[in-house]
Amino acid sequence: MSRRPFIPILTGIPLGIIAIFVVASRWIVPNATKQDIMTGVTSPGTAGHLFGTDQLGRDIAQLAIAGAGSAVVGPIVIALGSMMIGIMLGTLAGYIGGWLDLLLSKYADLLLALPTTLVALVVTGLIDGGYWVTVLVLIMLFSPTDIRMVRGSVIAQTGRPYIESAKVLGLGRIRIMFRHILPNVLPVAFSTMLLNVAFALVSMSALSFLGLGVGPGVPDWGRQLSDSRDLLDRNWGALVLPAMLIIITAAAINLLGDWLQERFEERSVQR
Amino acid sequence: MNRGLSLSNLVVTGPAGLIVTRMDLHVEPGQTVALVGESGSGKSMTAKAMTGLLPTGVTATGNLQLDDITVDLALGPDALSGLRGKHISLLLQNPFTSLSPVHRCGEQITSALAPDLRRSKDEIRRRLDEVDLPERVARQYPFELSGGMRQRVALAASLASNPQILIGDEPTTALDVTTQREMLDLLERIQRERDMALLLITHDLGVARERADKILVMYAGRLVESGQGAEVFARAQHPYTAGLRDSDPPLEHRLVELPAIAGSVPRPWEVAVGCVFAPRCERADDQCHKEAPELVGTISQVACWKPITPSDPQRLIQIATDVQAQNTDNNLVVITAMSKRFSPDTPPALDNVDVSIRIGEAVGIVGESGSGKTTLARCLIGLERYDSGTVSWTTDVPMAQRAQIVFQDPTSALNPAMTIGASLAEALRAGQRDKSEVPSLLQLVGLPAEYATRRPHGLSGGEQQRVAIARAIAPRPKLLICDEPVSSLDVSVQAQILNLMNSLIEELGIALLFITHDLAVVRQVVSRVYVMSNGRVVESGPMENVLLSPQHEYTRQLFSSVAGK
Amino acid sequence: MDTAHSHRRLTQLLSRGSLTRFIIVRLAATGLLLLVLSFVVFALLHLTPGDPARNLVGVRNVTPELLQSIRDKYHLNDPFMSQYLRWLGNVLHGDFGESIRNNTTVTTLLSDRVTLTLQLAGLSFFLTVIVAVPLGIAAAWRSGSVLDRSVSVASIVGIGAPTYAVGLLLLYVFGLWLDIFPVYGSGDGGFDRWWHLVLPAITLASGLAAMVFKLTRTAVISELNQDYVAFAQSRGLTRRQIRSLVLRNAMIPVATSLGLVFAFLFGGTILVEVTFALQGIGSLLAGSVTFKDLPVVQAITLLTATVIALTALAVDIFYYAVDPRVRQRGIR
Repeated sequence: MSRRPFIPILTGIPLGIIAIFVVASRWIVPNATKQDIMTGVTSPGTAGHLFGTDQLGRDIAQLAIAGAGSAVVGPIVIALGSMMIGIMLGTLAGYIGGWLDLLLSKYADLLLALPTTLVALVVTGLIDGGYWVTVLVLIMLFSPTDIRMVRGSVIAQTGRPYIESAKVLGLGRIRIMFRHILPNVLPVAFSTMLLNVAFALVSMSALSFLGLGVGPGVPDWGRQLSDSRDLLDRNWGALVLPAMLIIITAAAINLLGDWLQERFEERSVQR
Repeated sequence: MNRGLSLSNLVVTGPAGLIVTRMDLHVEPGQTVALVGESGSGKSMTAKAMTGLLPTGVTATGNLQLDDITVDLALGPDALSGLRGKHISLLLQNPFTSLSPVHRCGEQITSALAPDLRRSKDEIRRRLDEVDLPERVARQYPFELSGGMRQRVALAASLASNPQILIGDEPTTALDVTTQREMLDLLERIQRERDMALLLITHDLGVARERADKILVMYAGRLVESGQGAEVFARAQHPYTAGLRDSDPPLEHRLVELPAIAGSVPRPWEVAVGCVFAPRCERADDQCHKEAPELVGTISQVACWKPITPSDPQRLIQIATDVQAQNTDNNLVVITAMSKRFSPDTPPALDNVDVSIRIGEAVGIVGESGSGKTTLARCLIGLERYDSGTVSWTTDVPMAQRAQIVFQDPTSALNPAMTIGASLAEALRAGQRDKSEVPSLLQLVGLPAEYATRRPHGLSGGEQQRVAIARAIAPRPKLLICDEPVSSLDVSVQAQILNLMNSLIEELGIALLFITHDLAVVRQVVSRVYVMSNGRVVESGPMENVLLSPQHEYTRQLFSSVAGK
Repeated sequence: MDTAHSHRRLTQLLSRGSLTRFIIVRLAATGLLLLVLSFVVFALLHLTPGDPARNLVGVRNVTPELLQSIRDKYHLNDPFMSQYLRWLGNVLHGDFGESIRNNTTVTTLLSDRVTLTLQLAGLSFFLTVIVAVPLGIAAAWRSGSVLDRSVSVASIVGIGAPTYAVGLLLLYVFGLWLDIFPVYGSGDGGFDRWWHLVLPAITLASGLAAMVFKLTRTAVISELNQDYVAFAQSRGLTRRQIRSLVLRNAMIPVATSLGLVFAFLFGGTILVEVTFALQGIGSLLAGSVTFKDLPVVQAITLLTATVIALTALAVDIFYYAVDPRVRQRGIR
């Protein structure tokens, strides 16, 4: 049963705002990282700081707006990269099968034998390369699940009569893969990708919460949350704002992705 | 005191609109009533309404009376909970999904009984015995049994609380022809022993003709005719009933053209005013289009402004002379000693099969499920590999122009993401023809040229199958293989497609390999037939000969199992 | 042709669905997986950028003699495979080497902390199951109702919400602001310990419960739509009987989901322990990684993998016991 169509609107508004933050933070809050040691920590509402300031005198709200980019851009790249790998390798594995399929399955099994957070933690911790290296590592870690998903979808399509008819018509394997199978796999892939963005967002901010990934001084929600632990008794805003931002953004993406998935399922059932 | 079951004024409404309108029926104790109709007729919904098992979003109003108990259906499904199982029971179509996969058969049969009886071994044995099943079945799980045996278990389960009436919703459709007859015989015997009524819902006219005391014909959610047994068809009053009867392929002879009803079955809620059959009726006049007729009559009833009377001229049905077998040196393809085994511990799918098809000839392969007929086709066309044997073609055109295939399920036969025109153009290109032929291709299969820009999912089943056929003949193959091409279609649509195939064979001179389990269907199309069982060809020869004097035991059994023809 | 033939014989032999054979095969597969993983874990030392010897020294002052003694101690000049086998041998005896950060054996370090993590994980899992599974069943039974829709939306939010963010919020609201629960630390034994674990466990359970709820609901709805349910209703079975039919069938996919969730549990404990400053294995891992305390990292990674693999095996055995179709097929 499909949910009411107000979900895209409900989720679109916060996501739209976040998008504005990402793109235009340079102009909205140019002085986000400006430090003011004299002021020190202040609680929400004092002297024009809606959510107070941290130990270095930085305005929490401005910092959070500036941190939207780091929170969102990397995850989008991760989800895109992982799904691209997933589509390429998953289609090959699903349609051609054979040793490639076996190899990829074993690779996926290996990687999935450990929780993603743990592996991400260990690898990024040991390599210690910064934001974009972390993005690369996460792409590698997310791709097995996407490969599996695409592979499963491809296999489901391959058994269907219209694919067999295409084979009987003598169409080449590549043509069948791209013209027939892929267009029917893409809708589901897209909604899964959206859900991956949310998961990547949570993962990356978790890593920066633990002190990895992003460098010091760069505005980042996870880092802000980690820093807020020392301020809890003096400025609760330092916790609440970034926390709510992360939760709302992740929730909005998840709700949207889930809604899309339901709609795509309905459409394929109608046939 | 009232006896029997009476349903009055049933109206079933769904989210899209009306599904069943003003349905009345009456079943006497011990009687067999058949509810006949095609898809969308509302027969299944009627059964569900009677047992209070309508899906969410669908509601019913009306009155149900069984003996002295009256139920107002508008009160919802719970109102019928007292009747379910104990008085009215339901037997479903699909034996593979009717039973819980993780519970043993014995406990499923008696689960409706009181707790102390439930575990009684004697009770379970008694009930298994009633449906001719051995005692060991009690300990087995459903997946360990064949389809026919599972359906018997389901039957035993539905009889557990000794209902007065059993509603069978296509209870034999999913079974093999031979198993069907056994099942129907079993039902008849049980009816007699229990003095139980049976409401048989079916699309198979032969079954209705053979087994029913009374037949009700439904169309697009309305009851259009009812009467005593086979008379309903023999002396059909409603044009739909007559059309249905005529388009049902006969077994005795081959027709030049199967009378078909033009158009396709509408959804019940799509019909606005007038008689629901009027758009497709040859006899319809202004009144028919404006006003919906009421059901009139006593023993036999009909809802029609212009019912057929005995004085109306009989429809001329031309019987064709069977095509003579051709001389043997005109072969297109010869399969010799083909064998295939899917895995070492299963019996062979194909066992030393010899089949030959001549140029322009229509050949049939009949058999039940597991006979290997589909495997043979798939091996011939290259979708499967065979273990041993040879296939020799007398032509050397590329494979795509040698043979093409049409599958059973029209809904997944076309790429949902491509337009029909694009699919056909692609097929034409594969046969080195130009895509400008798309409109003429559509015309050849009886579809309007505008369909080229549409996508498959808006089309009806019959239309989709026409597109599938168009795509298959686009590269002008020498051989067209059809694997159960009409089994998923309604009888009236089936006739259209069979006529189409016959005309295509004649016009294009292609050979046809027609694979099916339905003997009457294959009768109408082929000149020669092979009968397969368990991977072997048990008999072959000209269609008429094999039909009239079958040599092999299996063939005889197969033919005699066909109901009502 | 010969290998194919013996392969067929082997599968024939194994496919006679006996439980012991089933377990043996699964154990063998698990063992193989862990072996490969152990190889990768071991190789971490050499894959980390920088000289392995220097990495093992850490931040202490390095002199050439110290480096040489490290190399001798850890046999870093031996061929790779023999290093690996030596390491593997030690591991199988329970010896993971010494921690670089503290001067104790890794095993001591772990055993001090493992109880806490187990308590935390156990409490979280318990909370998850008793909340999410019944809710999932109830929501599926009353599909489309207000209860169903509201909890479903809440669960989507719950799945997405990052553990540490939720943890911190809960910590602030219930720990600092309302002052009900203690803010940091693991308390002193007994009831105090559990009291300290309540907030962390709730944090962890919130994400997991959302996942389990969703999966349970989907599984039960899927069963409710099956033909056998309609058939059972038509025979007049009571609601109770039908519920037991459905649950018996739904139990299978629900069990898979619980097994799946188990893996997420491990990722979550790391974050929760750091957030609430609990001295468990998770926070040890986080600290060790930043400090590049390789022996500890290797040990924890390998142990986690083993536990997860064994859980997967347990789920497979559960399938075997519960689903007669699997029993017939023997090996999956």
